[in-house]
Amino acid sequence: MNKILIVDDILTNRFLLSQMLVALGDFEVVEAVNGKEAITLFEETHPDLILMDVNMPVMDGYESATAIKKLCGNQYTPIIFVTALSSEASLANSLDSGGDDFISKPFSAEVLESKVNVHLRIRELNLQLNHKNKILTAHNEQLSHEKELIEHFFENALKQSFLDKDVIKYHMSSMSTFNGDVFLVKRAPQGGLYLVMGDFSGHGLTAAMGTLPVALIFFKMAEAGAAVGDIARELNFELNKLLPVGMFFAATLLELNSRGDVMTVWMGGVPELYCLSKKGDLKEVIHSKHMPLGILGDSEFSLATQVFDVEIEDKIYLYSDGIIEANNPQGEQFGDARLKDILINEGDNRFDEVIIKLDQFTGEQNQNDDITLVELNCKSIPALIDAEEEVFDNNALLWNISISLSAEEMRAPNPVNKISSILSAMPHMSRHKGALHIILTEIYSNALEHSILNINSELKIDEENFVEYYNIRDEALLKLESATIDFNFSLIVNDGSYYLDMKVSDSGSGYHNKSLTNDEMLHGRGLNIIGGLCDKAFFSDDGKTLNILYKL
Amino acid sequence: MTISTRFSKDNTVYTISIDGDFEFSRLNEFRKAYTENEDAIRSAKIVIDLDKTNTIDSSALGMMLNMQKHLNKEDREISIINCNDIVSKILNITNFEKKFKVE
Repeated sequence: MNKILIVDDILTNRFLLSQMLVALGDFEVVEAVNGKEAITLFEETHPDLILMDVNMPVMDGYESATAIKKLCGNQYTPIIFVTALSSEASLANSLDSGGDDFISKPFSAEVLESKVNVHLRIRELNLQLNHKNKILTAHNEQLSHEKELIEHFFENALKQSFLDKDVIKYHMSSMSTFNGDVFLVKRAPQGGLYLVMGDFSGHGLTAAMGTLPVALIFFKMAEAGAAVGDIARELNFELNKLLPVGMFFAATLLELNSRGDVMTVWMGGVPELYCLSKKGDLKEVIHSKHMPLGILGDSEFSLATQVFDVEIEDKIYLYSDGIIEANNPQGEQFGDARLKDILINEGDNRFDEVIIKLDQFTGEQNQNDDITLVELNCKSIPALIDAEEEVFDNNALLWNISISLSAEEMRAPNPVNKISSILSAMPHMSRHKGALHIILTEIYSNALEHSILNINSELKIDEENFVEYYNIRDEALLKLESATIDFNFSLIVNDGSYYLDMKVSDSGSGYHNKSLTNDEMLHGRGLNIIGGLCDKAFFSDDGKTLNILYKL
Repeated sequence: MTISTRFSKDNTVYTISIDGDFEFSRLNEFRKAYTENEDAIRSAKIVIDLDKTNTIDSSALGMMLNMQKHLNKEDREISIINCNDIVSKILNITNFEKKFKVE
């Protein structure tokens, strides 16, 4: 029921109005005899509408209206002047003083009803609007608060990056509060560093969400000294599980070795990577060979990496496609030609110049994607001496594991990878994964190809015969009925030092050279590699068992 | 700026032509293009014609991947044709030929 306040000093006027209103319908009526009383009653009874006379003693309608409007604030309460005055000046006055309408005497009940209804409707609209505003404001405040919390999350997850200024220069600019670009660096325990630079499809919070699992996986695997291809594979696997179809993560995974002279990359769906020499000459342009992460299933995924020789003080440039696709006000793209041009021609200032020129290019135009630019300065980065080593000195737990491969398993793809995984999961082994993998690969090839399959390794010397060699190998492997290769690994102590003791034996005819050092007749070049990587290597059992001691 | 679709005369080829930039705002339009009449589309060879498309963004890539999954098409069953230089470059960088036949 709507409440109407009638203000008039004359009783009969009030009476007339109130009767009209009651007859019209659902109205509750309150009466005031002058402007002053009107203010009091307004505060006490909160009417929905006020019918105000103009000429009254004590306080007139204009003054009262002005005062009441001030008290209203946000809550629109219509004031309709009921007036006998007819001059335009006085009618204008009534509206200027705070009145919303006027009704001239004499008036009919119909006119009164129409005007009252219109103004009540407007008041209703106003009340709804206020209500919605209140909800929105509260909502906004809550969102702001949540945003702060989320930013906190991201900062924490991402702050482990190794950002030595001598080695890394970077510029990251996100399109909105949340950044879908990822750039993380971690020192490798074996020396050197790992780097991931990537870009989730889309932007804003949805894109940024993906950065958290990427950070967790990347840092964990980097700390374990994993191979770049393996990190890519794991990221792909996990992102497949998490991301909706159609969302993906274009990324570069890079490892620089401890001497700063070998770079390994896995690139999926990212623009070209540039490598410049210390003097500023363009040495390499490296392209993505893979699809972005999060698209291909695990079985389709390829972890093949590209390996490049680099030199100390070579500069590697990585960037997200936000730079290439940045638009100027005319709708042109910055493009990779422009970028390449700046990198080649601006000398040592090239990093800053890219940012400056990009800024000039885009001008007033709003940023339409997250932008990341990174310069990696190739340096030698020593291995981490971790706390684990100290623990190692005091009573590391000695263990022994055995793995046996049958002919069936030898035919399966990558049995060495599986053995390598198991081995590097053992305590104190993860730092040596790289070297051990190489050793295992060579041992396995030798055992399989020479001892079991009896293929003449002389064939391998020649580049042309290489292919033939592997064809012969594959055929022989298919025909293989039964064979075994046994691996035995132990963590042992010898003279106060820890070693990995490996014994590999097979069911084949044996390899008949008894020593692995300085033998130029060795066609299995792999065996020389083994000799170089470990401390002692020798055959026993008439060439059927290879023994290796690897110092940890 | 529309997405138009047509079947070949014998209904063996279904072509989706995209006019204008292929990006996020076209999501619903594009989805309609392969979900209306889905059964007939599934049994046809599908071609995405980008002749009138100036550029694509990552959501477009996502949309195409979604379509492939939704229609249960094998890798390289769906063709993308008439790409201009920019579009070709993007498809190249993301190695999209692993999943689509790019011509």
